[in-house]
Amino acid sequence: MNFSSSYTLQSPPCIAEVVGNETIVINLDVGNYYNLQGTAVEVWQALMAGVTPEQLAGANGWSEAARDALGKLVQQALDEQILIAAPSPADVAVPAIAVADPAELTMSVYADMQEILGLDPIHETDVVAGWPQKPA
Amino acid sequence: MAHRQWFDELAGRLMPFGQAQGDWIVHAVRAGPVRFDVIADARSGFADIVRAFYAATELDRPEPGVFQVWCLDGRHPRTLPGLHLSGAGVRACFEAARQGGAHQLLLPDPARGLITAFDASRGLGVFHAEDCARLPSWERYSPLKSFVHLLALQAGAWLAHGGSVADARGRGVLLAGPGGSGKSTTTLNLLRQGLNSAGDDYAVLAPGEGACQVHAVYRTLKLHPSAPLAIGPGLDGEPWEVDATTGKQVLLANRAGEVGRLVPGFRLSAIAGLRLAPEDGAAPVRAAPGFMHFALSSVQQAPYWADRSLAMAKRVYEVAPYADVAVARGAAGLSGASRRIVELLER
Repeated sequence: MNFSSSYTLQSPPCIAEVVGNETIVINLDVGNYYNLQGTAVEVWQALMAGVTPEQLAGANGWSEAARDALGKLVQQALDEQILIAAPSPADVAVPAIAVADPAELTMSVYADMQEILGLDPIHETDVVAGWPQKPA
Repeated sequence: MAHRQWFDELAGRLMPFGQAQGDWIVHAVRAGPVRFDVIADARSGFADIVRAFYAATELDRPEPGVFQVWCLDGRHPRTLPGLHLSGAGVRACFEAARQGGAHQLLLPDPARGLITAFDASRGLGVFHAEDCARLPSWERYSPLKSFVHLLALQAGAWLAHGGSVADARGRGVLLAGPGGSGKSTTTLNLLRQGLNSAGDDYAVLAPGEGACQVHAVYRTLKLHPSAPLAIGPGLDGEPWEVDATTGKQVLLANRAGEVGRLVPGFRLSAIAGLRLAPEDGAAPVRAAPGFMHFALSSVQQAPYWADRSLAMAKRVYEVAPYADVAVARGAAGLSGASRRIVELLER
């Protein structure tokens, strides 16, 4: 994971929406879905705008612990194949984001619907029972 | 043959109405902002699926400018251009349709002998079944769902996977949740308590400024044989029929304009996210956050233009309060969930 790189959503196969103070990401290929809340949503929006982790942590004077948590968050998103490195935009405003607790910079992973979301509802479901039943 | 060529050839082969051989009938289907005409051969089994729509009116000819869905079967072998796709090709069609960029969606289902083709730019669709007798259950009781979903997104609306109940004031609750979460059973239970509904499984939701209107699509109410509800006679004396493939009991309730418990629509006042409570002694399952639970099963039920679908789910979610409703097993659980929903409605 490179602190000086910009990142973007890996789409396809991922789709994402920010709803209230939650960010939802779905990887339609793998079937996992992800949830970020609170400060992590602000960080997600900054990353999607092209702000690099270095710009974010540097401009906001984050502690080592916060930088470390940010690095782990981005690495997790890369490992889950929901982010990919992207060219950095020429001019990007770095938002003011305060991290009161580095533990806020986390992303929950839900795999409980992996079998269903990863299932192709046309071709991989039971011919009689339909989605979400797999063929017997 | 490339997709674009295939669609070009398809459009050329679909004969102008009136010059067609056979006995074609046209039905205008309406669900709020979703409008399309279904054109089917009267001799085919497609005449039977049209009865499942809440608002379907027979017309003399298709309406100019309205999206046309041609339903074709083995009687019209030369209407559909040849489609020779490998397994990978079939998969590629599905992958392309999940993202929202393409105007032409081709969804072949070789196992069931089905082809769904949607051409947004021409306002033209084809649903082809080699043999109508082999139509899967959902195409008989919630037919042409993919077309409704895509046309809803084009019209700034969303096909939600959810049951619904409404009161006499025209306000109601959407019962969202995946298959098996109790949508149909809870909807039917509340219908028997005097509420109305816009359907037990799907509805078209049209979000606007600070409000959302719910519109009925289908008039089929379905009940799994294991549901904790005395089946007895159907609603308002209508007889149940049994779906031979799933064993579900299906009721064809009133159409639009007929007296009955299905209403054309209502204003959404709350969303109930139904989930089955864990069995006694079972470890609790970590619940998905509200929006995820609300949106996921709808996005996956018709997973084409999934990004647009998720965005529309967000618009709906932002205009109505959401409440998590756990449905415990058995009659007491059903009764408790029904009470919660009535509370939401009366808020």
